[in-house]
Amino acid sequence: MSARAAAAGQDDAVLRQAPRPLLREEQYFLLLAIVIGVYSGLAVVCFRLAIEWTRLWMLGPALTASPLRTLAAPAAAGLLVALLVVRLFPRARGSGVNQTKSAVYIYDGSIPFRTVVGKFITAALAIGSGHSLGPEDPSLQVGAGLASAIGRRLHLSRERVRLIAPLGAAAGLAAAFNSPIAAVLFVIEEVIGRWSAGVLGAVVLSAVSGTVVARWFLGSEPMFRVPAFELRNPAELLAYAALGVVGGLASVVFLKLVLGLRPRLKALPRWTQYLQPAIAGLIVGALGLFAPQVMGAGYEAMDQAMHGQYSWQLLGGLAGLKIAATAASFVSGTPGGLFAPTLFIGAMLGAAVNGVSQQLAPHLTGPIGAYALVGMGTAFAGILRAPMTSVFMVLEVGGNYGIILPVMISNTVAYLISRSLQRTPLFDELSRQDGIDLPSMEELREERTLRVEDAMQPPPSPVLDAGATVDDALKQVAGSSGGFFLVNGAGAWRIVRRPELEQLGASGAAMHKLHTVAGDVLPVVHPDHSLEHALRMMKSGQLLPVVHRASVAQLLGTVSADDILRAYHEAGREIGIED
Amino acid sequence: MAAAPPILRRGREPAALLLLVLGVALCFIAVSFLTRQYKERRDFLARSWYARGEQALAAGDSARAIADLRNALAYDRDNSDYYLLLGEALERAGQGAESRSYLLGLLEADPASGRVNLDLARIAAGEGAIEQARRYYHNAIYGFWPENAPEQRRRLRFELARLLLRHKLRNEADSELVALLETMPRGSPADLQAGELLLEAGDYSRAYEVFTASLRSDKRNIVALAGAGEAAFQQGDYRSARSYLARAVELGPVNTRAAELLAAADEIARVNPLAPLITSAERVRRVRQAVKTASARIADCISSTPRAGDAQSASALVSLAAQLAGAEKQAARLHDNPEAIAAVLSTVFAAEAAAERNCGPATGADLALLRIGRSGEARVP
Repeated sequence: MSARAAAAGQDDAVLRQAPRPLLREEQYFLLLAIVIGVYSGLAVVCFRLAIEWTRLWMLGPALTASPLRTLAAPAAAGLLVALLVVRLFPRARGSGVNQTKSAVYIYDGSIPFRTVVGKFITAALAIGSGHSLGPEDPSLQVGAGLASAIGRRLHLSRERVRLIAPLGAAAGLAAAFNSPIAAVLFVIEEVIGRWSAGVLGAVVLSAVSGTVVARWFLGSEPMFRVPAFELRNPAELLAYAALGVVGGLASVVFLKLVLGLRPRLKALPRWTQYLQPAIAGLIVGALGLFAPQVMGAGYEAMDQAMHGQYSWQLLGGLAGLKIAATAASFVSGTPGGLFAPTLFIGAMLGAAVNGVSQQLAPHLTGPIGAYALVGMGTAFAGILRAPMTSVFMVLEVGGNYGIILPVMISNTVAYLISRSLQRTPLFDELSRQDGIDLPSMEELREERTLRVEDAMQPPPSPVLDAGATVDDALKQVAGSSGGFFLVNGAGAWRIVRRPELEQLGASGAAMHKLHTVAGDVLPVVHPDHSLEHALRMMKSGQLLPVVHRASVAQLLGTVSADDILRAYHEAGREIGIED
Repeated sequence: MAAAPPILRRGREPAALLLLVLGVALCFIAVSFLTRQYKERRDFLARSWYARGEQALAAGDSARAIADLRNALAYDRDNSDYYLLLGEALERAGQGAESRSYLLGLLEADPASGRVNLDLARIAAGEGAIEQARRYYHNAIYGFWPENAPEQRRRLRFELARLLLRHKLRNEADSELVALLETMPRGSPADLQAGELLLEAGDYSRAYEVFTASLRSDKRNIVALAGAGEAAFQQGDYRSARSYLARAVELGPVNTRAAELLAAADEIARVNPLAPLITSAERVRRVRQAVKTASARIADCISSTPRAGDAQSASALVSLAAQLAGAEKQAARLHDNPEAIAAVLSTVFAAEAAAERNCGPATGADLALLRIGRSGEARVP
């Protein structure tokens, strides 16, 4: 026995002696998802506490801080945050969504723990001091970072670490947002980019456990007290469509402002990075002197808007000021999220549209809370361009299925306006500005799937019967110019080429049945199968019969590798890619 | 196809799981401690702001109260007491729409809450939405009250009845009062309040019952005497009215309403040609005096511009004046002739009513004659 064989034998013996695993691999992964959800939930609870303590310490216990604090707190916090970000935590910059996507697609799911700590501290300082940013996206990154750290600590494979980061992201977002469905959808829409049964279960478990932990510690009350919704009259849907237009246009203004200012500020000398968050803080503080509602995440103001506290003129003004304040905070590189400001802008616009509608058609206008809620979804669809999440988020936050129709109308209008006036979605454009080419989830969603029917060729004629003899077959194909023929034997398809037939006829096998002389049974495809599926079924140089789903004996055409390549080239030409 | 790499090397799962669970337990303890600290601080801040809001509201500073209560709610969003007080502050500050919005949220969570329904009822009443207010009042009356529910419900019925009376909805107010009386013990101070509201609602017979029932337990109750007097007066029972009102005025401090009604009842007693227990000569004298009074009133009315201003009314007045002149001439035939007296008085009452219709409200003897004409005593004994 060779040394290698002996070593292999020893290995086998060790493996036989090793204890059997407690759980199967899938079960272990699901268990890990729950644990990650719990850790992310705990981290988010701490993050929320940190924001609140910072707010109490820097802005005082009243909803409206004194003028001195209003002006000084965000500016001072901006200085400190800039120092921390530039010197210690450079990857804590930004909202957290793109950073998580980068980790998944570029760094094999690895997010340094240092970044998690940095994001936690800097975002809590910024949001707590009044910068116009929200805690949701940082929570997403913190959750993803914790999951990544756990994965690396457990020495999981690279593939598993890449999968595990989105679990933490979903849990972090769900815990911060108190909406597990919206969180799962957002992570799938924006981070993972595709529905996969293997990951979906784990993402859901993680999000649910994150939410449960957050509710355990912070209470289970919904984020907003949404007044009862009623659609008074179908004509009211026009008002919601108008809200979609207003929300779509406001989204475009915000996107242009952020995407236009950010590269300019990034291009400034490096030393200005120490001052940019402080200057942004001054701007936010100055705006806060006139409208304290725009400072911080702004949940209280959203709640008040839902309960009709503000006039429609003030609501419109608040939406405008929030756009300015958020743009200032975000483009300066201050860590913090865009979810809450987006919801704020939407809520104010929704409530403002309700105010105008009340003036024009008081009997047709429903409660202000419903408009504010729909406005949130509208801005979400317009700014963050996650249409599914925007709809389900409103349903989840509002807890009223009756609101679905207004939400769908308004969100669709806003989404279409935003797409037509700002082609690249926010997160894609931000990553491109950072020199990273992350996959665009919007493009992925809308990418046309090529199917067999796009590539298949008409069936060759004649189709031969498997029970026929070679001699009969030669007679049948005599009038045909085709080089190969398909042989059908009760739905089992084979292929036979003309030279083979002629050779068999000449070599004395003329009376042999075709099914004994033709090749192996071919796999079949259907017209609606994807070309990717067809390629997987195909051996080198093989041709596949395309058959009817209701009758495998009915031949609809054939597809070959060349046909598939040709179909891809044509599709490429349609979207402007030349050979 | 290559198998997916195992998550962990064999044998490491139990240790890893144990470590993770241990970590979760430690983190739970730490986060629990932090959360408790945070919640205590929030509770303290919420209570402090609420106390300030209460003080501000008690001092009539609604704007300050609203700001303080909003601060309180920022720290304790689940506290319905805070919402209720904020709702009241907003209502007092004239921000009914916002107040209603908060209260509707509370109502959704607790539809049977008496206090929330009451606040909504008051907001609706303030906005003049009486039907809506009535619905909320009823919800509040039949709703849940944690303390002293029967008394709260009685209080609300009174409040609702007063609201309905302010809006001239007398029948609806009367229904509430009838329901209220069924829940009240007889002879209670609230009984008298109910009687007064019944008078306002025009339910004089039930008001009379309430006041006389009250007098059975306390014959010197001035409020009951005045109320019974007024109820009798309004029903045309002027003798009983005089009796009750005279005792009320005699026993108590000057009650303007009772004194006025007593004076009116005295005037009626003085001029009433249909009064029982007077001699035939006195009755004829009073009838002749009534004819004179009515003639003078009609003459005044014709000489001044008639309010109605149309020719038909003017000719009716002239016709009545002629009938009165004819009645004066027949005065000698009135002795012991009830039919003739009735016919003359019928003309007198018709003349007074026409004069009031065309020339404004009557006073003094004219008013007394008008009341006699409208009362149940308008028949010759």
